[in-house]
Amino acid sequence: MKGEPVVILLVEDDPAHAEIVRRNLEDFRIGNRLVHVTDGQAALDYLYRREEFSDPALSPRPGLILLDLRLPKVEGLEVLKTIKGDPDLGRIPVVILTTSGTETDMVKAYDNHANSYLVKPVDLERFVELMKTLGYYWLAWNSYPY
Amino acid sequence: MSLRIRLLLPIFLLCCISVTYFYGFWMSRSVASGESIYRESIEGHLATIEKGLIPLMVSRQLDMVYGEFDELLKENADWRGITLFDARGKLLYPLSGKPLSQPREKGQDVRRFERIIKYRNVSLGRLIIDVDFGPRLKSIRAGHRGPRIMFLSGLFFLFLLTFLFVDRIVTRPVRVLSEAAGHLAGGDFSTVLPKSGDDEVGMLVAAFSSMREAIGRYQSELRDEIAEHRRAEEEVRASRERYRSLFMNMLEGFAYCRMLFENGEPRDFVYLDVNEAFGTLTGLKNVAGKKVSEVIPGIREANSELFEIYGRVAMTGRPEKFETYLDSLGIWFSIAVYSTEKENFIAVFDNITERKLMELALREREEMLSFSGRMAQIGGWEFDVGTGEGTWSEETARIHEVDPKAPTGVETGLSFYRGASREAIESAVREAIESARPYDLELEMVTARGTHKWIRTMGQPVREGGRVVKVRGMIQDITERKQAEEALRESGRRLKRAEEVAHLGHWRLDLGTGLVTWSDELYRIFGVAPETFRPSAGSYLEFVHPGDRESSSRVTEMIRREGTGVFEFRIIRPDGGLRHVSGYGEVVHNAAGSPTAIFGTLLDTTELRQKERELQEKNAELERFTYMISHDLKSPLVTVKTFLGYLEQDLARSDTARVGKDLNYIRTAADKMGQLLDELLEMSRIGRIESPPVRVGFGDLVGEALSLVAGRIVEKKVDVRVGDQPVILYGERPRLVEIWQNLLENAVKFMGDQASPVIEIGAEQSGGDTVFFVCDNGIGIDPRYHEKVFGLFEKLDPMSGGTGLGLALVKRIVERYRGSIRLESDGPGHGVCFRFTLPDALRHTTKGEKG
Repeated sequence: MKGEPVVILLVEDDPAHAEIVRRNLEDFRIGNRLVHVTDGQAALDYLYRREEFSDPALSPRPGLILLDLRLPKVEGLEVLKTIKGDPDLGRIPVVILTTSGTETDMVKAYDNHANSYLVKPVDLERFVELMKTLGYYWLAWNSYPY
Repeated sequence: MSLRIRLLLPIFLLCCISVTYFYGFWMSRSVASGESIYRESIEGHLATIEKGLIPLMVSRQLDMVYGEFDELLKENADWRGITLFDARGKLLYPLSGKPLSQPREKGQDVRRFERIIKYRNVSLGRLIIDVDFGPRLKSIRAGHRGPRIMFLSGLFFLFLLTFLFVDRIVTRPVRVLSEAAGHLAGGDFSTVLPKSGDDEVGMLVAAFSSMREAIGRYQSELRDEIAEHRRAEEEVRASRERYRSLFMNMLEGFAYCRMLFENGEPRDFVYLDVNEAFGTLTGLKNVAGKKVSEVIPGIREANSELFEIYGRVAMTGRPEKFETYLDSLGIWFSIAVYSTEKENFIAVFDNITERKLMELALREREEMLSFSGRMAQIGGWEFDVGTGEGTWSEETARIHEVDPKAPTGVETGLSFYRGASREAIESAVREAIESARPYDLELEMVTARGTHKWIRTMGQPVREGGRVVKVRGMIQDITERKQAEEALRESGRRLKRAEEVAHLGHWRLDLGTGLVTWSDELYRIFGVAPETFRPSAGSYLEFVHPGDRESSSRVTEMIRREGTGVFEFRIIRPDGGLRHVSGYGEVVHNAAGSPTAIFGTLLDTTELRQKERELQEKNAELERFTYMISHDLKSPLVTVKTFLGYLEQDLARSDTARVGKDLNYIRTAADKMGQLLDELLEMSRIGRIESPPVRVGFGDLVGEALSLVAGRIVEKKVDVRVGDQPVILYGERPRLVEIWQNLLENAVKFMGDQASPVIEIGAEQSGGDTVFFVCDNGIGIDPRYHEKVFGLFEKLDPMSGGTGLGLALVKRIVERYRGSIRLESDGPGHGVCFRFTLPDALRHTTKGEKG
């Protein structure tokens, strides 16, 4: 059990969509720290503490990753694969947030062990529902298995 | 006993007798005579002594006697002693008083002489004298030695001489003759004979010599005669053998028979002798001595004519020949019968069943031939070169549509041809007659009724004594075949055309001969000429891509095994061009169901594959596009929709600060949406020609593009350097301008914080292509993202303006002109160079200029 609030990593290139996520969290009164990166490469750099994120103090390990699929430089699916293929990072729950509701995307995401898949616009109810599930376990009790 | 011994034996005996006489008679007599002479002399001496003694004795002057006696002994050495007795027997002498004993010494032959000394018949005493005859006899004998040696040597020399002489003149010649005779008996005539003298032996030698010569001559004559005889004998034997062998081995059956008559009618016959072929031909065994009625029961009833003929020949002796069928044997026979003595006959026959059957078959075949001639519309003809007259078969007349009975000839025959056909046939006929050259022509003719026909005619000159006397030949109506051929040719032409259009060639592998034939299109697909390349089951492999060679070499095997098969491989043409082909083959069977060939097709799928790949690319692009649409077009909508919800809430809460923010997000999203739609529209235009193509200079295009982005260039103080290459392009001006416009915008946008920004624009020649470039010294692009930048809606920097369509648009335009674009960048901070080609835009200008 750690006393520190869990960090949520949001990977989203669209500033408006990032704002939506932020507001949703606010509305649900989730006070966790939200780290926002705008492309797949940055997300990986953050997770692996490279480049600008090389200082561990500035890049705490996230307890939850909210990942858009359509990302500049490195695609969301690639990021997912890298995370889930890493024995260490693989345990971090990854929630896919995307505008695409196509089945192939969803299948690919789940094939690569995404923990959940949400299609934008994520209505408040469903987001709350998900956050509840996740939050109840991951955020409120702050207990994650590492 | 040898001659030598015989001759010498009498001589030897003679010698023996002579020696016996010499030793046994002559010598002893001579000794006896010597002894008696000696005795007489001694007797005489004694008588003398007696006379002398008488006075002395009477006077008794004994000492005188004694003296006398001593003197006597001294004088006669042979005298051994003298003994003297007085009348009363008183020893008077020797004085020793002892009568002389007669000691015998070796080699002594003492004889005693006694005398009674009387005077007037009164005995005065007795005188005894002992005399040794030995020395005397010895000396006589010694006197014999010389004559004896002489005698013996004489004998010996006589014997030796006789021996040598006999040997020289008799024995040796006789022995040589004997040897010569021995050799002569052994056939050796060459022994050297002794010289012939005028004695008997010489005569013998001469006689022998002439006898030997005579024998030699006789013998050589005899030898020749014997050889001659042997040869004759051999000939006789061979001839007998030949006839025997002929009899036994002749293929014809041979039967020597005696006919049995009954009431003057031939009833039966007996086989006296038959050869082997008899058995082979008839299948009858061990017939000799048997009657034919036993051997072939029922023959008399079935083949009575046989008995008639045999009977007639046996009686008359006139040979006959006939053919008959023996029911009971099921064989056709050809029989020659003759007779050498009455009631006997000899039948020589052959099994001609096969010939008979062949004759039958031949007759059937002739009918068949005539029938098929009619059916196949083949007729025969011939004409006489001398007279020009000719004959033709019914079918020939039918082909010409004339009365078969009408007379014909070479002129008539030729009259059915016109134009080129006429020339051809006339020259062929002329050649046939003059040079005996046969011909085979396919010609057009017009029949008597005006029907146009195609015929094939073949002519064969017939020579007699080196001169062509006749031309004989056949004619066949091939109109239908010609039409079929024409149809086939037409269909072949169509096939060829179809193959050309479809890039589909066909091939055939004859399984019997291994010959491979290709259609014209197949040669084209392989890029080889039929004149220089000879297709075979293996030769084509040379053009097959090395990676496909092994699998390709097994194709025919696979088709043979499976019956059909499909396959694919790549070809490298002699000019280096790579082609993809796919083929199909199947085994062709003949009527009997055995495989005769493999027939197959080969399709050049290179273009197809190209199209397929392009289609795949387009599909992938379309997929990407839908993906983009689903994300990027939906994305602003999501924003608008969500923020409208927030706006509602915020308005309700009268949170003006948030309302302003919400509205701002909504506006940005709507703008982005508008921009996206504009660019998508732009993109969709690329494939369609919207403005007519024009000729435009490279400088003009760049100038126009620069003017469109002038504001941003000035704003960022970018130094733009444009090359002055005199390149003329031909195309849609607005599209071409867009290339440079987008690249310029891109360069300006990603200049970063470069202190002295520079953009270089130009064209250069590289490997025969004109390559355009737009280079900057901006932030550069990580090599990892070089491909990604050309994708639809791809943006490397989410914060930068734009929709991510610019470079995708450039790529599409470049590809529209069959060009390619690539970017070079050594990574972040090193600037970017875009290099691209526009072959179609340049090709058209060259063409235009030339035109």
